[in-house]
Amino acid sequence: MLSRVAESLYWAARNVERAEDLARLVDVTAARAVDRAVDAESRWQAVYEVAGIGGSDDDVADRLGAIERIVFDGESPFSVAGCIRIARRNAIGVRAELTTEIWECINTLYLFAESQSARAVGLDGVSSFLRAIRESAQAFGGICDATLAHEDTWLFLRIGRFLERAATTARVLRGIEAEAGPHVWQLVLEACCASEPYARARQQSFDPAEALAFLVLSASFPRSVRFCVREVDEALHRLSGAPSGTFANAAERTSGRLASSLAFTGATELCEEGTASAAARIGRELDDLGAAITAAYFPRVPVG
Amino acid sequence: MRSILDRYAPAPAFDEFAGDDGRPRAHYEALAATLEGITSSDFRHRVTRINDVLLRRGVTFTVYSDARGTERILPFDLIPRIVPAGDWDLIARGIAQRVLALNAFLNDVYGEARALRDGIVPRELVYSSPHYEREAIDVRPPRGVYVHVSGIDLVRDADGTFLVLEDNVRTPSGISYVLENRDVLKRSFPRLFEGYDPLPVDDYPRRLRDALLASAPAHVADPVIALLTPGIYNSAYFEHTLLARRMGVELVEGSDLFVRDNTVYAKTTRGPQRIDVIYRRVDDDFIDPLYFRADSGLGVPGLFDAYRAGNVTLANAVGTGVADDKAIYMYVPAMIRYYLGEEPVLENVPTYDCSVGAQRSHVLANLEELVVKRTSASGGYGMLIGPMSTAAQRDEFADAIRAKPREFIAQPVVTLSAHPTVVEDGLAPRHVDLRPFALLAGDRVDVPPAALTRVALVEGSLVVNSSQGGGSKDTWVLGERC
Amino acid sequence: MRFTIAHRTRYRYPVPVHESHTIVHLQPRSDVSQYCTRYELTVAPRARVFSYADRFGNDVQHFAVLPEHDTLEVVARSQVVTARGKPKAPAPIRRGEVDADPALLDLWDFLHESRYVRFGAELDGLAASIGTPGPDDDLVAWFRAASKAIHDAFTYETGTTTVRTTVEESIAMRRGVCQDFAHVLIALCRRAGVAARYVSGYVHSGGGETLGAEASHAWAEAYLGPRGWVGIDPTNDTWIGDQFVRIATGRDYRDVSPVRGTYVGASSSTMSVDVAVEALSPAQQREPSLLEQQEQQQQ
Repeated sequence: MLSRVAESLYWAARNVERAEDLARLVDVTAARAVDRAVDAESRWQAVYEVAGIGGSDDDVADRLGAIERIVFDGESPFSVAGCIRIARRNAIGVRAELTTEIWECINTLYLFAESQSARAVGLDGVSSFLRAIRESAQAFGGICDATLAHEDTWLFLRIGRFLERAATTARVLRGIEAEAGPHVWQLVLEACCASEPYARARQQSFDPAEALAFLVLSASFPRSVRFCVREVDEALHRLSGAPSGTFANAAERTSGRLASSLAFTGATELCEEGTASAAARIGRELDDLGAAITAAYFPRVPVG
Repeated sequence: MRSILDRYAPAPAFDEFAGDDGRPRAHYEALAATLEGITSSDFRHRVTRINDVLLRRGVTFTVYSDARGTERILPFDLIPRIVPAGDWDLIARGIAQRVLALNAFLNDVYGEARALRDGIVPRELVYSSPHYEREAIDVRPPRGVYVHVSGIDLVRDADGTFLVLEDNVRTPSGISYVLENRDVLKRSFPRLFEGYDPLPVDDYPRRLRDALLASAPAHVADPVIALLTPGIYNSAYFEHTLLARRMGVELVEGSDLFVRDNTVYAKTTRGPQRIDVIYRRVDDDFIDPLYFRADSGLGVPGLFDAYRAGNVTLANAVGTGVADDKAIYMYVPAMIRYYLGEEPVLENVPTYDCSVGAQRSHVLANLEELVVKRTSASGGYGMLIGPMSTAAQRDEFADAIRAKPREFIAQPVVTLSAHPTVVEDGLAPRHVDLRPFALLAGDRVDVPPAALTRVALVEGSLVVNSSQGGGSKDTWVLGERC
Repeated sequence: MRFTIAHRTRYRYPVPVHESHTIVHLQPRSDVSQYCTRYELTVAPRARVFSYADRFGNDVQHFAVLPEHDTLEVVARSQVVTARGKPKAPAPIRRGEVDADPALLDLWDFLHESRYVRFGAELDGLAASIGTPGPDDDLVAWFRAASKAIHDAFTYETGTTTVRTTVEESIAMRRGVCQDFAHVLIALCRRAGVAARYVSGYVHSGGGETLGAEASHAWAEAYLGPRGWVGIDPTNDTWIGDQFVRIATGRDYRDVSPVRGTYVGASSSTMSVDVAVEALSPAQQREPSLLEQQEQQQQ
């Protein structure tokens, strides 16, 4: 596969995932901010951090303006609409690799997002707009899984999707203060779609250490960092054909090392490191993994 | 309930649908019967729905004059254009003959230049053509094929005679509309096909692929094809993606390729992949910044070296533009006689060469009755349509012709044939042309029954180009049985 | 005469570049008046060099350096024997006789404007001072007069023009280097309907005051019917004699530029060129290398 195509697939998937994750985070935050059990201002700031937008107090006061910037501003690469625009831009560049159904899904999602604005949907309409985005983004993943041969094209989409998902989970955790109470944790679990799976899996009534371990170390929850890294590692090995546990290039070495480190980390150990600092470290390791993938598969200078 | 056909009044031109008696021609009778039962509102509803489908599919072209590079769909007209077997036979023979002559001319003009010495085509016209590519002199493309793909535009005059309006042998586009139009029409309006069995168009990509493989460098056992696109901002990008997918070949941009040791490679995730045949939709000027426009980021440095060394086939070959220069067009019938020893099956539209003094005087004296075209332009840009022009426009063209006569030709206005087309309140005649696509595989021309009918949607307009408010129709070529 | 020539071009890039492709016109021609006995091109970083003959009959080399690199060095070494004798004017020839030559039909490119040879108001002015040759005028004399007019009116000065300077610009400034002088003379010829082409090469100073020596040189040739292609150097206002070495001919500089290319990366680069042309006595067998020569010059 062309390196440019692989790179576009990777970024298309990352941006669709990012749009989905951000849509969920905004939706959950908006809902939680209403009941005043959490400090709305700091939660919105945390959303800005996750999105990568520098926020200010003014923005938080002007709720609709904040929503406009973080959801609808198609010019910004950080907003939900912006991610969708970038994903479509990448998809156009690899149009020939995608099935018609995948293309129509992303194109329809784009045309839908472009057609809306904060003013048009109003505060009351934001939640249903975000739900529609989330559903389409999830449909994108499903259609990719169901209509593509599970070969290189699919593998690069998968690597992008899971790497972005892991990175989002890490970014969300980075915004949790040491003294955060159960309401903040509840919001974070919901933002990672983990509230119900966690409730089913939990041992005690509520324990921040356990919630943290669930989001980072769960072997079976599909948004935990460990789960996502394992998916990336597997996809990389399938690309090269190298057996699991070995490595054929620096990307596989990085993913393998990170996957086993997560597999052999205990909940207590993680808790002692502190939520924010552990999340920051993991975020950096995921960035390194992204860089290693870029160097291995999308090199600037022709090799070989 | 009023039928959509009720108010159809044939045009003051050759009407494709209605004969002189106003009744449908034989090959349109079944369609007319189907249309009888359909109301205008039903029609309008279907048109809207089809256009939505096309937008969602991304069957779009980019409008350059619009600064934002807006994506627009080519308006699709629901009423199919029907070409009976007899007409198609004539067209296919005429096109095949013309392609062979143009290809022979290109071999000659970049080789021995016999036709120039023998006075068949004036030297001056060739040497002064902006598309006469000097780098291509004495560089023989694999198997002598220059014109792998061509789109030759035909029109019908008032008697219904098919005439060649212009040759397009650089990177003609439009085949994606042929493929999509048929697909969309079959899905959204299957009833229209009752009583017809048009020849399928969907094997065009396979036939294109076969033609490209047939002209691969001789020493390559298992040639790899790639389609080179200028990128997503090109107006025909959708077509490039469609053809690449349907042919099962890689769609590449210039930066995806590199040249090492006079061999072209694609940069892939598994290392370099050799490329042997490039169906390029990038103009000559942009294919290699080393030899052509240095500011081009669309091309591949060293590509022309690989081509000169015979290691890669470029389709179409470099320099074909000299053959579709609108002044050289005048000499194609002479080329047919000279190279093939045959009489042309399809005639040209009479043409005046403004670089010849006497002809120029005639043109300048009769601007009001003539169509003036720029010899190197395409896409319907830079034209003067005399009868519809203002005095100021005519003055402007007259000055331009006097200043640079080589850049202009003129033709009498051909009143293009007309065809029923969906308008606000039913059907009305609109002018159409026909662009069959021909494939040259080795020394054999394949003319697939996949032709594009373009329609001037504006009442009375004779310009069918998509950039000038044109639309398209599904075109049914009928087999012998019908 | 016998010459050894070393021509080194070196590019430096502030940030490493990659995928560089280079075309060189550095191989002296072999024809009736000169013979290239040896030619060797070395490239660093190492690259495989390919060669082809272009449509003007020039031998062209090209090569690619794909990995990252921050310098590129091209060295051409050649040995040439010239047999033109002393510079001398060909026998006079009437314009009418030249115009009747059927070979002109295929010299369209040398009779019309080209990328760097453009007509314009400045050229019209200069041409008026020389006059257009009539059917009975001697083209040899006219050609020489045109060359002299440029030589007398223009100041040879490096740094005032670039490789992209147009004919109009250099006439307006009345200055330039050999490339500009040649382009202006070619423009005068073509404007008057006389076929003319650009020649790149070297000129050996022979110890005297010769402009353009120790560098790439350029001059013009006009097609004078039965006299064939006749060369004149407007920079030094002389017919082409034994001390000139021809490398390549073309419509203008663009067709024969000694070293040109493309690369991916940094937008700027610095270039340095060293040329050494040395005449050998018949006894000398081995020529000194470029490095040794530089040392000798420093002594």
